[in-house]
Amino acid sequence: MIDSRRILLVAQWSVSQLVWSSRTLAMGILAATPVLAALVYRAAVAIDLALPTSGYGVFSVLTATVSFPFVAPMLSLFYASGVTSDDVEAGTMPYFLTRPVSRSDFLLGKMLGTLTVALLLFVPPFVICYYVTLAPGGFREVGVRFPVLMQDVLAALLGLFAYNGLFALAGTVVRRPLLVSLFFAFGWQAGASIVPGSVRYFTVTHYLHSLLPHESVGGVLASLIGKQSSTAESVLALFLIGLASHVAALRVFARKEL
Amino acid sequence: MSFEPGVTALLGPNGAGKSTLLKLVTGLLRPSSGTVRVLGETPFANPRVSARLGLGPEEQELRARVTASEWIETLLLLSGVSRDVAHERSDRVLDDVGLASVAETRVTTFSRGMKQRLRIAQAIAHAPDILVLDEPLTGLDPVGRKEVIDWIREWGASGKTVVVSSHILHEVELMTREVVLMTAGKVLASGNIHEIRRLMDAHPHRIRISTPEPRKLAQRLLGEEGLISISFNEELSRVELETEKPDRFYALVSDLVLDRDAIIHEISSPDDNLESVFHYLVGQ
Repeated sequence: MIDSRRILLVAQWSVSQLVWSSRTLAMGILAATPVLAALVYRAAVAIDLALPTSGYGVFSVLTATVSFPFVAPMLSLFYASGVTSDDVEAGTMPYFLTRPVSRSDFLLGKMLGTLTVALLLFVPPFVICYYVTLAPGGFREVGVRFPVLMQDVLAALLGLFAYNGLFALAGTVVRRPLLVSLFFAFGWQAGASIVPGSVRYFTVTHYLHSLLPHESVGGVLASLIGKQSSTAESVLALFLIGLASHVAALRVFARKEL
Repeated sequence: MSFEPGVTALLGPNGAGKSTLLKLVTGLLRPSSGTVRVLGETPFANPRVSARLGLGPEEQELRARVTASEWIETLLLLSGVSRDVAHERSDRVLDDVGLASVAETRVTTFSRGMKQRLRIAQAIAHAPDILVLDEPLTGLDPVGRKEVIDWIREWGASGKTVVVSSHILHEVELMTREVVLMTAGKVLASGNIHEIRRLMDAHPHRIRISTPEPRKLAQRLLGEEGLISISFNEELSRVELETEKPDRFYALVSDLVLDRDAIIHEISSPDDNLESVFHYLVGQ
C-alpha cells in the first residue's frame, strides 16, 4: 500500500537537501550553458554579425548537441545515482529506515525528489534558451516554433524519467554508482549509437534522438547506420525503461541492508 | 536472548557485535541465520515495528542541511504525526534534552555532545515503547553523562524496554544491573550482574570482610574447603579471601557472626562490579 503523504515528505526532504548543495551549484552552471550560448548568439545578432544560421537553427544545435545528449544525462546522473548513498554519507539513513515508512515509499520519495530537481534544473533554462534564441525573429517566430518547444519538453520529461530510473537503480545496486552511470551515459550510449545493428535499442539516446525534431551530428550519423524509431515506439520505450528501472530499484532497495 | 521492560546494557569491546545486534533489533540488518523478533514480528524493514521503536544510532557525523527543530519535525512527520503536533513535540523534546536554545541552529554546527543529545531527542520524540541507544554517552561531558544516565533509568522505570550499548562500564553500572556481555559476535553471559557472577563459580571469587579482628577471622577460615588464598590490608582492618566456593564462605561468615565468634562490619565482593566481571569473562 503506497502512502502518498510519506512519499511526498521524503521527496520534500530530498529536494531541500539537494537544492542547496554544492552539487546543485555545479549542475546549475552546467544547465545554464545553453542559455549562455544563446546569450552569445543574441549579442552577435545585436552587433549585426553575419551569422550562418537562424535563431531556430542555433536552438536546434544547442538542443541536439548540448541539452539532450550532455546536460540531461549529467543532471540525472549526479542526482539519481546518489539516491541512497547521499543519505548514507550524510548519516541520515539509519534515522529514516527506523521510521514507520516502508522502504518502497522512502525510495519512491527519494527518486521523486531527484527527478524533480533534475527537471527544475533542465526545463527552465531550456525554455529560456528557446526564447533567447528565437526572440530576434519576432513573436511570430516564437509562436510558430512553440509546438517544437513543447515536443522537446515532453521528450525531456520522458528522457529524465528514464535516466532517473536507470541511475537510481545503479545507486541501489552498486557501491560506486557514479562510475557505472558515467560509463552508461557517455561510454555505452556513445558506442552503441554508432554500432550497426540493434544495440542502439538498449540506449536512452536512441529514443530521445527519435523524438527530437532537431538534427545533430550524432543523430545524422545514427540515422545513416540504422533507422530511427517512431514517435510512439520512442515514447513507449522511454516510459517502459523508466518504469522498469524504478521498479527494479525499489525491489533491490526493499531487501538491501544498509 | 530476550530484552524485557527495563534497562538492559550490552557490554563488550570494539568489534564485539553490539552495534550489529542493535541493527538487527531495529531492522537495519537481516539475520544471516536464526531469527530476530521484536514485539512478535520480524523487524527488518517492518514499519509496524519501527512505529514503536526509537533508535539513537551510533555516533556518525550528521551532515544534513537542517536545523535541530526541522530535523526532529521531519522525523516526527515521517512517524505519522501531524504538523502541529510535530512542531509542539519537537519544541518539547528539544527542551527536555537541553537543546531549546539551539533549536533553530544548523545541526552541522553542533558539538559532539549536542549531537548526542539530538540523537536521543529524535529517539524519544515519538514516545516509543522500545528505545535502542547505541553508545548514548559518547561525546558527553560529565554533567551530560549524568543527565543521560538519569533519563535512561527513568525510561526503564516507566516500563519502556531500553537497550543500551556501551563500553563505559562504571557508567553502565549506574544505569542497570541487567547486562549482556558480548565478545567476538557472541553472547558471553547475560542476566543480572550478580547472577552472572555466580555463573563463574568455577573461577576464584573474592570476598572482602571488614573486621576489627582480621587475624582471628583468618584463623577460623583457614583450612576450609575451597579457600585459595587469604590476605590482609595494611591497616589490618580487612580480610580478603579468594575462594572457589563463595556461597559456602558467605554462609560460614554469617554463622560466625550469629555464633558471636567474629565481629564483622561489612562484607562485599570486589568482583561484583561490571568491570571486573567483564574483564574476567573475556580474559582481558
